[in-house]
Amino acid sequence: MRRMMNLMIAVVMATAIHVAAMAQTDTAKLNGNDSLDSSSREAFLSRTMEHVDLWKQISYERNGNPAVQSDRYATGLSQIQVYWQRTGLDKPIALQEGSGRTIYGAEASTFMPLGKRNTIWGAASYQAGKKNDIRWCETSDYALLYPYVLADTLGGEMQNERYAFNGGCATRLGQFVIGEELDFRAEHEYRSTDPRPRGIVTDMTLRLGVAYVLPEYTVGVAVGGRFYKQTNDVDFYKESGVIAEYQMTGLGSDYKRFRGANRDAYYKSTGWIASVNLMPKGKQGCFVDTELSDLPVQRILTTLNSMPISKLYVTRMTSRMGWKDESERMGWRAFAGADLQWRQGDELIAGSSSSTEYDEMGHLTMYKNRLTDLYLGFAMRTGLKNRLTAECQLGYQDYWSRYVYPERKFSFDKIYGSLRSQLLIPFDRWLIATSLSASYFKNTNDKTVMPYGLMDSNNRYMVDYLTASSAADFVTCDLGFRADYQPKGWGGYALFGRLDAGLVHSTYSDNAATVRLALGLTF
Amino acid sequence: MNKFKFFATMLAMSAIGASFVACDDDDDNEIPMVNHVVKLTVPMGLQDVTVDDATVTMTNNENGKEYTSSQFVLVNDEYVDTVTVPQGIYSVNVRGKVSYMLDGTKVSNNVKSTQENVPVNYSATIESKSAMALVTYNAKEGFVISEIFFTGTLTPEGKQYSDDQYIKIANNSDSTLYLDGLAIVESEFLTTDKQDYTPDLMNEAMSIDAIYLFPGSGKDYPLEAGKEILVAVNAKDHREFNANSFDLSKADFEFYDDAENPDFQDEQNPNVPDLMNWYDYSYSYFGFHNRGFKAYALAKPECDMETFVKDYLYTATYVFTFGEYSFDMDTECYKLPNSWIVDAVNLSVEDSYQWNVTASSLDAGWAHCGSVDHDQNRYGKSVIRKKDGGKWIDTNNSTNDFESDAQASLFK
Amino acid sequence: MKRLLYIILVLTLLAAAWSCHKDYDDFFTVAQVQLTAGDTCTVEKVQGTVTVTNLSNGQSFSSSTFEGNFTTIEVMRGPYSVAVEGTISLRHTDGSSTIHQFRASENYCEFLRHPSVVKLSILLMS
Repeated sequence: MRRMMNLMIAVVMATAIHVAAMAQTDTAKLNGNDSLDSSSREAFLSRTMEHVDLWKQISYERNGNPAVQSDRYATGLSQIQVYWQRTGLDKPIALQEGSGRTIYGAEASTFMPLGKRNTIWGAASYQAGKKNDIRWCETSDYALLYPYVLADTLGGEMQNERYAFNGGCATRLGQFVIGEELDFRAEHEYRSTDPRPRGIVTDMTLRLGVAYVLPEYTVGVAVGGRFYKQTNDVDFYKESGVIAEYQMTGLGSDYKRFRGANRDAYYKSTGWIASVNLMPKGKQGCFVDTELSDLPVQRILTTLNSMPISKLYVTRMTSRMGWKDESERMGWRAFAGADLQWRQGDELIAGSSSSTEYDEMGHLTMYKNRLTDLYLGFAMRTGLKNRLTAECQLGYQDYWSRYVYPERKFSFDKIYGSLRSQLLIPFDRWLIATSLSASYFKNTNDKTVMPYGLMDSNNRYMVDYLTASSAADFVTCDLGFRADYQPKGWGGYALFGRLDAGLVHSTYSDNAATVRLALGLTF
Repeated sequence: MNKFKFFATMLAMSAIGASFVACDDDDDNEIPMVNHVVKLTVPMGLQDVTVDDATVTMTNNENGKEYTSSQFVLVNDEYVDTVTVPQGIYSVNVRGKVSYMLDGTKVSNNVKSTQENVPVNYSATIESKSAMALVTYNAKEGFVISEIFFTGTLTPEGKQYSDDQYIKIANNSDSTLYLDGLAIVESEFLTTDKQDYTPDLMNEAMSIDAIYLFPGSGKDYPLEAGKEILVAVNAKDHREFNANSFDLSKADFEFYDDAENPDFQDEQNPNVPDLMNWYDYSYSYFGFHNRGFKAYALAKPECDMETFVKDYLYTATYVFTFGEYSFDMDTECYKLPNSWIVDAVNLSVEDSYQWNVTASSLDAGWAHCGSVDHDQNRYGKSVIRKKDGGKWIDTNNSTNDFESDAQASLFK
Repeated sequence: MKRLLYIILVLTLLAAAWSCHKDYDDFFTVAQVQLTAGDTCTVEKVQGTVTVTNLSNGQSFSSSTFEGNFTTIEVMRGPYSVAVEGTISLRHTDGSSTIHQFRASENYCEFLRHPSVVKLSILLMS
C-alpha cells in the first residue's frame, strides 16, 4: 500500500513537473520565440498522434503486463477531459442491463517516460449517471456476477456514481524491467423508489510484472490479484409491504428456500491474474499475449448469520499469437486468438434452521457456462504523415450453459466478422482522427431446454427474453471524430473534442444508439 | 522458426481449438415415445370398492403439454391405464371417484392424487410405470373453520388497517350442532420459525397462546346444518374508519378482552355476544397474526376454565443460536390435547414456511394469503374452505381443502 | 524463439489446469423412507404415497410402491420434508391385524448419504 501511495504521489508530481516545464515553454513563447513555437507544434503533433494512434492500441491492448508498458509510447502525454454519453434502446438487449443510460464525468490521465529507465502512468476519474428500466437485477456489476444476483419482477431506474483511479510504474534495471500497476474502482448504485436497491462496490486489481529483454525479443511475465467486494441490499419504505426478492441461481432458476425476505447480501472475492507475453524487439517477429484470471466470488446472506449460499468461479483466458512486420511507411500483423470464459456456480446445501442459523451440509455444482471465441485477424497501417490503420477479424463464438435440476440448458453458436479503422490527418495546428468500426454476428445454431411446465409467467418471460436476445443476430456500426488543436502561443497545451456515435441493430431487440461527446485538454 | 512455419502452426492450433468447441455435447436425437402405465391402488379395508370416472393427466415439465387418458380398467385389484407420452419428466395427476360400501350404505368420495417429477424413460426391456395410491380420508363431520380473514385491509391512504379481521365457522354435518363450549384457539409457535422445542408434544397436543370459547350452557347457540357464523375481532362498522373495509356490526360473535393496559382498551358492541376469554397472550386485545404465520383450530375442551388454566400450562424450551453464541430460551404456553381438536388450519407464506405447528393428523398442509413476508398484495384476501356438492371439503389438509389468496367473502 | 514459444505454451496449459475447480457433482441419491408403528405392532402392508419435498428448490418426489414398511425414491441430495398418507395394515402382538388410515410426517431430514434412510412414526387417523 505504501508503494502504491508513493506511486500516486509520483504521478501527481510528474504531472506538476510536466506542467511547470510546459509553463516555461509558454513563457518563452510570450517572448516571441517562433522556433520554439514551431518545435512545440511538431512535438504536439507527434506525441498526440502516437497516443491517439489505433495501431498502438492494437499492439498493446491485449498486454496487461505493466513491465512492458514502458515501450508503449516513446513520448509523454497528459489529458484532462469532461464527457457526456447517452445510450437509448428500443428494447433492452438484456433486461438486467436496462433500456438505456445517461452518464457524464471527468477524467484525468497521464503517461510519462522519465528518462531512459522509468515510466509512470496514471488516471483518475469520476462518473455519474443513471440507468433506465433495470429489471430482474437489483445487484450492481451484473456482467461480472451473473447469474448470482438478487432480483425482483419490478425493477426501475438506477442512479450510479463511480470513482476510479489507476497508476503504474515501470523501471528498467539492466536487462530486466520491473513494473507494477494498481487499478481501483468504487461504485455506488441506488434507487429512490420501492424496491430500493443499493450496491456499494470496491474493486481493486494489483499487478506486478517482469520483462526480460533478449536480443530479438522481450519476454514478460506478470502476476496479479483482484480484490472485489459489494454490499447489496433492497429496502421497501411503503407501509403496504414488499414483493418477493429472488436469489437467482442461473438460467432463470432461483434458490427457493431463501426467496422472499432475505434482502441483504454481500459479495466478496480474492482472485488472481497471470500473463505471459512475447514481443519482437525489431520490426519483424512473432508475438504472443496470454492472460489467465480466476475470480471466485462468494454470495453471503447477511440476515442469515452471514451464510454463504453460493460461490461463483469466473475464469477467463485470453490468448493471441501472431506475426508482425513493420517498416516506417507500412506495417501489418496477422494473428489468431482465443477468448475463453467459463463460470461454475456451487450452491450450498443448507441444513436445518434454528432461528437464523443454518448448518452447512455440503455443496453442489448446479450451474456452469462456457463462452468460447476463436478468431483470425489481420491488421495493417500505412502512411507517413497521414496514417490509415485497419483491422479485420473473423471469428466463431460458442456459448453453452446449464443448470442441473430442474434441468435448464441454453446454447448458441455465432460466426462474426468485424472491422475497425482509423485515419489520422495532421495539418498545421490540427490533428484530425476519424474512426469507423463495424461488426456482424450471425447465429448458426441455438437450443433451449427449460422446465416451462414449472415456471410462472414472469419467469418464463424473463428466460425467453434472455435466450432470444442472446441468440439474435446483430450488427454494429460506430463512427468517431476527434479533433486536436494547439492554439498559437499555448506552448505544449492543446484542446480536443471528440464525438462518437454508434448503432446496434439486433433482430430481437431492434435498435440501440449511443452518442458520446468529450472535450478536453492535452499537455 | 520462419514466418510460414509459424503461420502453419497458428492455423493448425486454431483448427484444433475450433474442433473442440464445435463438439456439441447436447443430444439432438429425436425424443422417443413411451407407453407409460399408470396403476391406481385403492385404500385397504374397504368393501366393494370401485373407481369411477378416473382421469389421469400427465403434464410435461419441459413444455407444459398435457396428455390425458380416462381408460382405466381393473386388473388384479389395481386400476390400470396407459398413456403414450414423449420421454421426459412429468407431473402426474389423477382425479376420480371411489365408491365403497360402509355399513350397508354406498359411499362415494372424490379423490385425487398427484406425483411430481416422475421420470418417464424409454426402455426396450423395462416397463415405464407409476403407481398411485388413492386416499379417501374425510374428517368426521362437525364444525369446521370455513374462512379466516386475517390480512386486514388498506386505507385509501395506503396504510394498514387490521381491526376488521374475522373468522367464520360452519356446521358441516347433517344435523344441528351447538356452539356452546366450542373453542377457537391460536397456536403459540410460528409456521415460519422452526425450533427444536422440548418437550416435543406436537403429536399429542397443540401448543397455543390464545383460547376463546363460545358462551352458553349447552344448547343456547344452535347452528343449523350447512350454515356458518361470523366471529369478528371487532364487531363494528369499519367503513367509518376505512372506506375500503366493511361492516361487521352485525357479526354473530366478537372477541372481547378486558385489557389490562388502559391505553389499549378493546371495543365492545353491546349487541354482539362476546366469546369467553380463557387465555390470551396479549395485554391489550387479541388479533389474528396479520401476515398469517400461525395455526388456528376449533376444539371442544373437556374441562373447565380453572382446570385448563392451571393444569395445561407448560414451558417449552429451545436453543437460540446466533453466530458462535447460543442462548437457552423458553416460552410459557398451553397444551391443547389433539383429541379435543375438531378442526385445524395452518397458515404460512411460501418464502418463509418452515413447518406445520400441528400434528399432520390434524392438518397435513397449509393455506396462505400472499407469497412473501409482508406481501403488499395480501390485503383484503382470505383463506376460504372449498365446497363440493354442498359440503365443505375437509380432508385435514389445508393445502387441498382451502382456496388461498381468495377475495374475502364480505367483499363479494 | 521456438523454445520460448513452447515454454509459453506449457506455462499457459499449467495455469489453465490450475484454474480448474473442484466439481461437486454428486447430485443424486436414493432415499429410503421407513414407517414404524411403535412397540406393540408391526407394519404388514402399506397402501399410500410418500412425498418428499426438497427444501432448497421446492421440488417434490413421490412413491406409492412399498416393500413391506418402506419405499425408496431417487432424489437430488439435500434437505427434505417428508409426508406420508394412506392406509396401513398392522399386525399386533396377539396375532390380529387391523387396517387404519394413517399419516406420518417429518419437517426436516437430510438425504445426503448413499443411501439415506429416514424412519417415521405413523399417526392413526382412524
